[in-house]
Amino acid sequence: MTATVQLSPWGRLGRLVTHPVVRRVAEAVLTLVGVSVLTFVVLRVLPGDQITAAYGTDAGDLTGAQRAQLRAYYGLDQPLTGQYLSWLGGILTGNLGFSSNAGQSVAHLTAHALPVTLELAVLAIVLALALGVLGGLLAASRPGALRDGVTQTASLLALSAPVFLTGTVLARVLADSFGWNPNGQAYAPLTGNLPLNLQQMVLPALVLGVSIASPIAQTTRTAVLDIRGEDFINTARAKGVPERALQVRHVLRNALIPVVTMSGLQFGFLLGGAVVVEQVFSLPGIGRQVLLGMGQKEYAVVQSTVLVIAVLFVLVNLATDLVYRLVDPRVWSR
Amino acid sequence: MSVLPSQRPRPLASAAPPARRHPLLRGLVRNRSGLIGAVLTLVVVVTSAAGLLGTLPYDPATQDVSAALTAPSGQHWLGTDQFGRDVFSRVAAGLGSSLLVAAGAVAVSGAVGVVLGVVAGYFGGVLDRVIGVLTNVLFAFPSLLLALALAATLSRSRATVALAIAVVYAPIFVRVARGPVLTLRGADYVIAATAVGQRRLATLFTHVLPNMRGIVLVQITLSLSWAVLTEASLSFLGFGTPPPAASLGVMVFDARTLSSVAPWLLAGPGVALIVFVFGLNLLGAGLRDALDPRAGDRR
Amino acid sequence: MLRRDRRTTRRLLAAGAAATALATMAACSGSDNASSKGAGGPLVFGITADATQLLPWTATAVQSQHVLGQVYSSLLDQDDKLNPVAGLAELPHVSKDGRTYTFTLKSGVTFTDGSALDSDDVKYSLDRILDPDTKAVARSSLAAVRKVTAPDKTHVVLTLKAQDASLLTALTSVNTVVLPSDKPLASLKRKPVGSGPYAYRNRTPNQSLTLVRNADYFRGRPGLRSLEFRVIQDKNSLASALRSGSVDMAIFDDSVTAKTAKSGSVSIHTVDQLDYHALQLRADSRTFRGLDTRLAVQCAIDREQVVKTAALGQGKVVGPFTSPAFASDPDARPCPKRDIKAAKKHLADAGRPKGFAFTALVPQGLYSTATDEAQNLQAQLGDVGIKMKIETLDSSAYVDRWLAGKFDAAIALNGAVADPAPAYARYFTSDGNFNKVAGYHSAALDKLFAEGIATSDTGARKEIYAKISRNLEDNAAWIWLYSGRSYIATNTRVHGFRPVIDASLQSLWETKLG
Repeated sequence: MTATVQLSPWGRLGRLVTHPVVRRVAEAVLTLVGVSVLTFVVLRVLPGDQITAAYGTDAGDLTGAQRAQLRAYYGLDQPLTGQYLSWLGGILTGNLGFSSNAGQSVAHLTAHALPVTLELAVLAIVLALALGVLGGLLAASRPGALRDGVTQTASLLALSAPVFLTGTVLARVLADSFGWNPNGQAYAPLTGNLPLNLQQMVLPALVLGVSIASPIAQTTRTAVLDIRGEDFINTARAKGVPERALQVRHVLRNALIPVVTMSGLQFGFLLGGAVVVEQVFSLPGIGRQVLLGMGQKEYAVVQSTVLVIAVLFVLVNLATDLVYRLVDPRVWSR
Repeated sequence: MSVLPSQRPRPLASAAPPARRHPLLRGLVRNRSGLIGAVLTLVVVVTSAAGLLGTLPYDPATQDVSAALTAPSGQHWLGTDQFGRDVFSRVAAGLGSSLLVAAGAVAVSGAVGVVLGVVAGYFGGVLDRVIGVLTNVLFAFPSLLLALALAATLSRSRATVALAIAVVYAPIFVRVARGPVLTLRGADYVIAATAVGQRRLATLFTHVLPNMRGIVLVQITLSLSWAVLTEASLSFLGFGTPPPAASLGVMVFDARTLSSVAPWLLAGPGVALIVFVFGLNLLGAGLRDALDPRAGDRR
Repeated sequence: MLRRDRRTTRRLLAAGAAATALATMAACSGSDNASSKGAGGPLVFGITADATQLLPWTATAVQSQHVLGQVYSSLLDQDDKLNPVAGLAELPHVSKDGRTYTFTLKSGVTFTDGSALDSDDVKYSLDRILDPDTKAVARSSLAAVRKVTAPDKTHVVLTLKAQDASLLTALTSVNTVVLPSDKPLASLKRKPVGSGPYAYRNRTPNQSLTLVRNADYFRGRPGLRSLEFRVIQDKNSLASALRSGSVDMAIFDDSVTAKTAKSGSVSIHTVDQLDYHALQLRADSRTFRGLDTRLAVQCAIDREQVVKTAALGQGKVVGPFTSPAFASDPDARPCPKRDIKAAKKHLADAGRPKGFAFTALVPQGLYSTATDEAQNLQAQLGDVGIKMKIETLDSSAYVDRWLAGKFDAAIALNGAVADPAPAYARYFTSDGNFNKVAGYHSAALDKLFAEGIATSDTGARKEIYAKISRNLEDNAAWIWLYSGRSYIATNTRVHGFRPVIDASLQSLWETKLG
């Protein structure tokens, strides 16, 4: 911003409002409001309600009076704006709603489901980084050579198989050939039975990790090649910095910036995107919580859980963005 | 699917010079993986066209119960399903169906997304902010769950599945288009054109848009592959393309159960699905390299 | 009663839930892992959807009914042929006019919280089921009950408005079990307290629900120290879990998954289901108003082929009534075998010699065979020029449209119980709650159903229901197709479980782990 220097308070306010950080935060809040409205509207348009979900065809035996009572019980008799505002009011006071099917509050449910997905996402990202960065470096070490082609082809191939297919096939083969089927046992939380928990997480994390390793490998490769071409590398080389130190200290370090950005983004997507894997491997994560709520028409469960996912997504993005700005001040001016 | 594509559009390194003729095509042919991708995609398109033109060995919907669940043979190259339908013909039709859904989804999301992105990038201001927030809302909503919810609200058909996927992908096109427009808007030759007296809108059409063709084309190719996988994932979650239309996602999903007695039911569509998506991915990567030489074979 | 529909319903939900998938939550417990398994259990029973409804009176999903059937007891039970037998009470003494039922309760029965189960609890339960405020689903099946009295601690008397031959069957249902009168329903909804073989211990929503042995069970000592119902939504994953031994028992409704689960240590027991698959036609609709139009559909269909394709040969062709005691003769219908000539003649008689088009609702995710049945029917009908369009809907949308009667035809899997009356009277009598769904009624049927419910002699009832069956078929009210099979997979360590028609779990309480 090239605002002229003004000393009036309005000018200061104006500058505050247009300050990039303030603007980003304001945008984030707007985004969350948008997500909540979208969720709310989509849910009301879905055919069926909690009454038919709970009673199924037996709902046909309910009398008009009974239906009316049930509608009141589920809060469906309120006008839509009232339903939205009372839910939003609850959210602002820390009440995420209640799931009558689970017999627990949504906050309680989420507190148990979220760690599962977070753990899965972290493990998947770690795996994807390991595979992706190594693959990217390998590919970039000799662009155009066989290893480049093989790495790139492999990463694209990994991107091309549907997760539910690879997950099912992998799980079945391991179970049948080695009798190893940790996901058939009850889910073991991280803090309960760590060895079993890790066994239950390894396959899903692997399947997810492999599928997102590709963009990370791609980003790494491009970034490394870009930076290698930069003037400061040639300068450093001319100054006699040893090649190995040059590669690690200058090339790799700088190349990691876009890689970290990319991982942050992937992480955000994993929060809601792991649902298929959670389903295949019976992991009680947050994606399944949304899916369950949708099937049973538990509006509060879906609305609140999607909002939680969106908040995390926005936070992760905000954090990546801010870190990025700190690292690379040039971005401020954009 | 897996996860939403997430590459943020990389802004073009420098403002590109005015378009040359077919630089993309030439680059693509020079690029090995891109060429393979193009060939694979072509094979898929030809195969699915065979389905549309009715030149398949069997009608994909015709049932012959006496030949149910037979293993692959000279007569039925990929075997038959429990209705005695020819799996090869269904795979070919399924490729066409998946291609239609994906192409429909990408066409809609691409058109809407690019227009919004260009408007946001070129005119900036309040429009840019509003479009930005809308985009962010769709990004922050878990993509597959959004597609699922949308598919469930509408009556089930190929068109609605495509529409649901389109809504999820539109924001990606917004971002893809907005970035380069921003960069191009500041490019010397565009500024020069405006200075010479060309009207803003005219500049947009003569100088800005032609230079975006490449990056949008790459995004379209990549989005096609994601759309195919998304359609398959929706089938897995119970909201895929309805029967009797054969879609690869539904076929793979159904075969998951039957595969213990008839593995060919999984093999045919499974391999076809992977090859199809792989081809699109290769093509996309090849196009990207051809477009942006920095990423390509550089020694 | 209406367990019948309870059934459709539960299927709907169960499967709906399963397919939609869900499950959530986590765990706090960290308690049991396979390592802690001993001879007394826990026996792990795999289910594909969570038991979300813990109040038995409103439990419509099959998973919830399985769980609650172990926790609660009903006035009467069923034998292996599904006939009513003594439960909490002996079979009742019925007055001459068939309107007064006197039940004698077994003595010394207690709830798992230690309180005694007496006639007050029974009267309280039945009264509350009949009270519209509780929205108990069995209210309609007990509609004949005028009042319930408890003359002393061990006797309960039901006075009926009219005779009801299906009353005893209704009293065997999970939806009519006896609840403790001193516990508020809200608390039972969270923590069930019953008098069944197992007592509720804890539940992790969408993961598992654990029961422990009720040593004071009135019929004897239950076979297991504990019984865990574990939610594994994907049936392929459930099959893998059986093979690897982390799940001991599960019920599948398709033969292929069952076959996948089979291994050296897993055996499969096949039992018939009472539920029937049908193509419901709505004679009220413009498309199917004419009898000849419906008969054309009837004659154009080879039911064996539907069984062969959609159920991979695992099922049997049936007529309207499927319970063993009242089974319809599947050949007692127009065109018992596919007859294309007859179909074309009916089309011509209907004034539609070139055929016609209609749309069938097809549920997706409710049960595995629906879309396959639809595709085969579509192909078969196509042979005579009838164009059936398929409209797939997810479970909620399907149920909505189905209940509203807004369709010409629908593929459906409807439940049935041992008694024939409850299942059909609600559909095909003019004042039935579901007549709008069935779209067909007639004075003749109204009269026959009234006779059927008022007749207590089994032989006489059989004749009446055979007439009803024939009437429905001759009018092609619906196209009855087949009933499938259930596959009960058990680990070889499981002993003492008797597979019973309809995959009833009445012997689960005696089951032991070896």
